Amino acid sequence: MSDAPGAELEYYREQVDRLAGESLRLDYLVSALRHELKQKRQAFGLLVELQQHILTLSEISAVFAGAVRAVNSVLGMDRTLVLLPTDRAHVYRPGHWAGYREEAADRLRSATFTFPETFVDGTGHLLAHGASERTPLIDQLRTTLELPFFIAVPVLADAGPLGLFLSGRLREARPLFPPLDAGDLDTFRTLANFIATGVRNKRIVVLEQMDRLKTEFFANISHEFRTPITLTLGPLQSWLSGRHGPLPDALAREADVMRRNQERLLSLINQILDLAKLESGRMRFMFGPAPDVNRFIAERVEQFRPACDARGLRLEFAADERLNGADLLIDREQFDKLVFNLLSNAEKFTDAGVVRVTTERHADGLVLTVSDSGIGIPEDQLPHVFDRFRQAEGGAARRHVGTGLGLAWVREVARLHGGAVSVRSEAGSGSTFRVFVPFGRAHLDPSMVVDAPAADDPAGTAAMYRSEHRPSDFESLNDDGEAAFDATRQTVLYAEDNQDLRAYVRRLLAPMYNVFLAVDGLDAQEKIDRYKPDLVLTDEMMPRLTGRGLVESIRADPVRRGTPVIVLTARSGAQARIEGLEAGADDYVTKPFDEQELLARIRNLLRARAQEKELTELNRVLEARVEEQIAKLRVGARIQSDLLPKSAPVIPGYEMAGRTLPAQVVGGDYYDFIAVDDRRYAVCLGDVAGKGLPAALLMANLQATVRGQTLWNPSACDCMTRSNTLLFLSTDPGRYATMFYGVLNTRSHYFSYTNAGHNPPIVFGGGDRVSRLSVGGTVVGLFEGSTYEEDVVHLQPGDLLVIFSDGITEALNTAGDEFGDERLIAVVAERRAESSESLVDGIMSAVTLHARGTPQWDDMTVVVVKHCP
Amino acid sequence: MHARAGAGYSEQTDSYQAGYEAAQAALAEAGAPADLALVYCTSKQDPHRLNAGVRAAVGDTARIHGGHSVGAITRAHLGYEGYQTCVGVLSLPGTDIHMFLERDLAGREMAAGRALGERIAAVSCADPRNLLLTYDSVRGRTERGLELNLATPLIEGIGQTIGTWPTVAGVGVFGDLQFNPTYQFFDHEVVQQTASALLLCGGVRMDTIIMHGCEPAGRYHTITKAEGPLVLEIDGRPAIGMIEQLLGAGSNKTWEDFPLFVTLGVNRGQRFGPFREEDYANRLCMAVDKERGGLIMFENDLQAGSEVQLMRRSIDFTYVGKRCDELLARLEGRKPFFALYIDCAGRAAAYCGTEREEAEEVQRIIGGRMPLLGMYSGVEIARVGQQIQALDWTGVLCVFSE
Repeated sequence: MSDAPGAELEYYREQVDRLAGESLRLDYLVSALRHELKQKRQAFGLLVELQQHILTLSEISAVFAGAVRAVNSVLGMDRTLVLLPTDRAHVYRPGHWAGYREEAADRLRSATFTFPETFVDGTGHLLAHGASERTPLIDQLRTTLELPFFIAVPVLADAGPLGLFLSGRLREARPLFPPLDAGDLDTFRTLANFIATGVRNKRIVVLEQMDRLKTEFFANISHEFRTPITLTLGPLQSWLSGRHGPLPDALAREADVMRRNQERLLSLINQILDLAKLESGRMRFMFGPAPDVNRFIAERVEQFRPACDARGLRLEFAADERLNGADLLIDREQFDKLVFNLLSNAEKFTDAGVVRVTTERHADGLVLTVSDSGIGIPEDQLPHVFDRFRQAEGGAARRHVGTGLGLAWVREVARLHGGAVSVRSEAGSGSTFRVFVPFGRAHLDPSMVVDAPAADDPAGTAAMYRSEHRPSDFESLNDDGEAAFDATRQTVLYAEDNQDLRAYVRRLLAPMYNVFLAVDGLDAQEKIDRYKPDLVLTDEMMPRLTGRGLVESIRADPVRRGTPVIVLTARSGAQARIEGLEAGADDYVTKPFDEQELLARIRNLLRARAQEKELTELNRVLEARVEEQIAKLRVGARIQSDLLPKSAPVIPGYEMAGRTLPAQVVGGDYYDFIAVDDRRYAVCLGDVAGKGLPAALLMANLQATVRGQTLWNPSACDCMTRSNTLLFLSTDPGRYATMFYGVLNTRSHYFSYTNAGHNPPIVFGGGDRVSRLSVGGTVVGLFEGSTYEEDVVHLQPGDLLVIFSDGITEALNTAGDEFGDERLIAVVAERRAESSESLVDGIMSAVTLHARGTPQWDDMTVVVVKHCP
Repeated sequence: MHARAGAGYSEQTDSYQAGYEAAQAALAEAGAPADLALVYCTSKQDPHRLNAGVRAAVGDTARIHGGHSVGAITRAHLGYEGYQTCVGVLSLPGTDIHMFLERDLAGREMAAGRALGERIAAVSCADPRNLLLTYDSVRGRTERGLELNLATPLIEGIGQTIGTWPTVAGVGVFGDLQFNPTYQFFDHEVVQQTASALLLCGGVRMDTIIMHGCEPAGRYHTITKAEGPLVLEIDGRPAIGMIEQLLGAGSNKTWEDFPLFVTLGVNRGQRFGPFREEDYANRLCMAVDKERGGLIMFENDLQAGSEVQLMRRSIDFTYVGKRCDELLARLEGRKPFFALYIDCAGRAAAYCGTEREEAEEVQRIIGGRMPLLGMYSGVEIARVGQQIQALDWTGVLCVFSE
């Protein structure tokens, strides 16, 4: 049986169609895959490009600037921005962008956007496409950034967003520009993570480099300090020993202060030098047997007993006797410092309770434990407790001042003994430090091992690392100041934790001011309430509350916020100064300071504050006066606005329109349409000399005069002559106006006019014919007997009369070019077919466009009368 | 004196600078003052400032002709959808340059064509006669949606009055693929909604060739219902349904994927003869009228009774080299000095999903021999078979020789 030929044909047609469809589908698939592959390659290329940016550029801003350009060019986005964090939480502003014209820069720079909190923790994003839900933020971004379809993701660093990436397209049209989707979001998240990781890695490398350089620098500079210190410390010690005879009491007290501080400086420098040597491997240790390690540690513990007793602390030592005779090697000098540092910290940071030291013999070594019931260390700061220059923050401020080198030293010494140190702590419950030192010598450099134990020098170590803790009598601190209080003097409060410095500054200021003292920032807050100082002088680094914290608290206090503050600090450099000033300080003086400079700054600041108070009062009075003047001007403006015609008259066969743009709130131009009878209309335009309220009042006078005279006798020359006389008699000498006045007969189409010193209006006739209406006389109001000639023109259908003030033709642009008659004629010629209203709009637009925002000093007024064809 | 030419490129965002920079580069390559400047730029440029920049470089007497383009091509540069600008300058001693402009094109393409044709025919033009037509592709957006000016009636109008056609190439200018309003450059004027003609008489000769690399996939289909550029039915079935069925239900393609993907070809050669690229006029689907189930094409020449084939696009660009060689072989010893490449914007890699740019082949083959100026267009015009035809998805290569 055979199929019909038609069926066979149909079969082959279907097969051909199927194959055609198949090949087209394949084409499309291959095309789509190729497109996707291309995009992936582009994205990869973008990552490589960004990597280059990150590696070669040292500033994150440069990385962002490169990234926005690269995203646009490589990923085919129209506009890309990086929004940077501002001082306000969650508020961002455009910092870098690509795809905008230059004119947009100011607008972008001034825009701010508040993003949800989720952008800080990294879960936030915005995906705005045609079908996405609208939110106020998306709407604001779309409008302000002129970007309808976009993605925004945060670029997160450890401490929060470095910025937000926002990128998108101007259109969404399949198939070329499909809606942005989750895939695009992934791409941008990858991009943001890549930048964040790159920046973080680069920061780590840079920080490590900086850290090493800093240590080297400190070591070098510190070494240079030792010679001058030695040369001043030696003679001081000699004087105080009485070798040169007894010193007067006052001199002896000051010399003792100098000696103590020189010794402290030397101690700090020695620590820095030793740590630098340790870290660079240049310090040579001498490890010797320590069969008596318990006794060795016990002696160091006993050195702290007087200090602990004085503060009411229990000091306990428990030794494991099994350590006696143990095969333990230590460098006695360095191990001594290790023990000293741990004990010193325990004593410093414990207000009440116990400091406990124990030794234990473990199978493979010694474990020394120093624990206390002190303030403890917050959990988040535990990982950094052995870092150099770190001291745990305790609430608002550091509890004790120090270099932050002690625990770093402990870690290095323990490490070089083949051991380690660890810490357990809880804020408010105390800390426990455990040092492990292995037995034997296998872990030690044989060249550093000696068989005989070295001699101890605990007294020397203690002297070198003397605690500066000298309890102050807070209660009696200001007894002298209160006793000497003089109500006629200004009062200065000085906050400083160093007793010597407090005493020194008090001596310096007391002859001029009432001086009160505070031992730290918290104490200063109380003293400010008590003594209400005129000025606060504060140290920056103080226990409990720093100087910066004190400044911030003063600025946040609605009563005390105006108190001038000078920060006195040992930190130098522009950055420290900027930080201080940003915190709200009025001035910033670095230690060591020149006495006269400090006095001058205090004096100037107090004087400036007094002047500021006077100025504030003066400003208040001035502002009230300005408000009064503005109110008057507004009244003038309203009067003027009311005087202008509300609308042009509707006259069959004619179109009339007029407009005024005052250069100030109140201008001196005016125009008017006055119906004389059912066929005649007066048209006038005046320009009063001067601006502001006086000009507006004269203008009102002129308008009333002209209206009255028009109704009395509309003849142009008669009206102008009488108006001039009346104006001359009723205005101040020297005040005048230019004016054009004409009367249109709408039946005969004759326009009789006179021109009182005004810019000649222009009549645009058929073709390119242009004529000027200049017949008349001089300005009105200036001379009593001025007379005016009159002329008549016949307005043909299609003719156009344009009356204008000189503000139109003399409008300047930024280059200083006037708009001029030629441009005016050109605009009218081009648009003369339009309605009068539209023509007035066109002239004003052309002038505005010409001026391009240049402030104009003259009012601009134009009136158009058109005889409709 | 010989004809000289050069082409310059710029991506400056300041439009005056862009025009000046591209024109200066072109003048430097030409090494001679310009009699004619061909100027193309994307819609991101301010056409007035750009024209002023070109004018500042080429001087007051040079004629300026050109308009919007989605991108720009020269020997060394190729780019689109940015601030691309390209200028070609030609020094044409012995060649008369005539330019004609017809305004108010929208909705009166046929009349404008007739007027243009009359004005061209009125010129006493020595051989070789070469004509470059340019018109605004985008008419605008109305409540009915996007509307385009159509080349087919324009060509028909010209054909009615011009007499014998010169060698012709043409451009429906596009400034971007968002179908924003387009502009043309006509001497000192920047104009819209116009059709213009550049007629070169005597001296130089323009040879053209079309290339699209498309081959028919499957049999002939007959359009059974159409309204203007809207193809409503093919083989008696709704056009969208027919295409969807052909691609197969499992293809994961929807009507949203059709625009710029579905290409219909009209064979102007032998119906069952061997495939010849130059016989096919391609028509691209611009959008889909999903309410009426129709395909909106770029032109209105596919009407009831038209036979079309679905076209496959080649991803192998070797056809470009072959066609370029064919064109150069036609010069018969004349010396080529300039090439103009009018390339359908849809053929750009970013829009059609190819890995490489087909125009790079033109750069490689033609750009190595003479200054090259290229632009991306909405519609191309060239001779196909015996007809002057509006084309889509086509590159029209024009080589100028003397």
